[in-house]
Amino acid sequence: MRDDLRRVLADVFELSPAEIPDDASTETLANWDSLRQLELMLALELDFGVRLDTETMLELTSAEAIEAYLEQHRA
Amino acid sequence: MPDARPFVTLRVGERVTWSHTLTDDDVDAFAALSGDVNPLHLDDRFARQNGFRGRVVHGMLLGAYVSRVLGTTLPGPGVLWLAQSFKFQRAAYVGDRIEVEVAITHVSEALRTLVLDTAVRANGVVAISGEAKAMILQTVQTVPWDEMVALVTGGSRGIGGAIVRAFAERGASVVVNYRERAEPAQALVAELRSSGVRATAIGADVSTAEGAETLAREALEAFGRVDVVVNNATPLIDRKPLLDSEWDEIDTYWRTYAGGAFRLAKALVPSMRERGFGRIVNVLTTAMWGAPPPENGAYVAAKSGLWGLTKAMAVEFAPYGITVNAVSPSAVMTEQWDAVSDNRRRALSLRIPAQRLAAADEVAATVLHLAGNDAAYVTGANFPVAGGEVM
Repeated sequence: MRDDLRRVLADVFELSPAEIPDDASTETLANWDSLRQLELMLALELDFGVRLDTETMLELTSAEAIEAYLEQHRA
Repeated sequence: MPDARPFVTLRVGERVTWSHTLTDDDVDAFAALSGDVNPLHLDDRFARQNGFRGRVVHGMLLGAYVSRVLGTTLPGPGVLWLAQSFKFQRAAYVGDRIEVEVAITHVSEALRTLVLDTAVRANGVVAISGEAKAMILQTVQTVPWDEMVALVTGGSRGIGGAIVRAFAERGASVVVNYRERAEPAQALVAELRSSGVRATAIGADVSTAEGAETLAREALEAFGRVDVVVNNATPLIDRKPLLDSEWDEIDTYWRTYAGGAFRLAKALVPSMRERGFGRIVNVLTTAMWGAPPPENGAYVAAKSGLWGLTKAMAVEFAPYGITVNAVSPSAVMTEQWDAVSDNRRRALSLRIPAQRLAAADEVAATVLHLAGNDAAYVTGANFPVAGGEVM
């Protein structure tokens, strides 16, 4: 996983970057709940300059999906 | 309590400032509420002995004033305060004049969430600063009938006239649109005005860009707003086989139904969005339900197009408190049926489960329901007013 995404995930989930697993997702991180999801999506908009829509937001529930999205859409 | 603002009206760069002079009572009340009875906040002598100018106002009392501004002013009622960082930069004291400043720095439409800079200055110097994250909850805006402005295209006679009268009876202001024949529209407006209704007639052909734009502009000039648009206008319905038609003839229906509805939406929906309330009701027909009657192809196709537009608009406008619905009347007793023989009317009515034709005011009653506050959660629906003819 790229470092800047790992840092954002660590900030949102209040973990150290090393504690973010490569397969981080709503299934593998216990505190990736709906409120954290909202914080995470807001952090993606602020830190990566992307504009999310509601459909996309519902799909970005893993680090892998987020990484793929950022590869395509990052400004 | 001020009204909740529609999310769409909140923009980056908007800022507010609220001022207040800190008092002993403020600090005592916060100490009693929070249980923070630290002598630094309550004991003037203790505070001075430790190098402060006097009793120090709780930092979180200043934070509470940030809450006050977020909850009442910007973004205001309906806010859900998700997160807040605070940096305490200097002490504030009883007697200080504070200014709470909140400014929007980011708007996420997908999340309905704002990021805001928050700061409290005491006598002009920053005491606390930080960043808030706040979600805007969806609220339902309402408009009382007597404040509502309804625009009805083709509103001088028949179903349109009945819809105009129904709005007027509820106390709404009405815009009566007509295409060519001014006299019936003017007569209806004069009658409504004589009973105290705010009404105006506007001649405009909604099948043209100029006509639709003129209608929208003059309606806004007349009443300052339009809350409801009823797309009822129709060209004269000329029954003929499709292959006997020219596209220009067919296009007349499309330009009136879909073109008119689209252009009026384009002109009027932006201001509806700003108010968080809007109603669009499109008048369709039972002829587009199931197998259509023969020799009605141009009419049925264009009404079906308007139904597609109804659904597309319903989806796109729903986040802004704007509903878009349709009514599908079957044969309605209007002036156009005067020329039809009694026998034919009777035969037609016997085909309908209710064994009678509809009255125009029955169609109007359904339109009124869809325009009212009670139908805020109904959108993208097509209601047959058909006595059971279609289901």
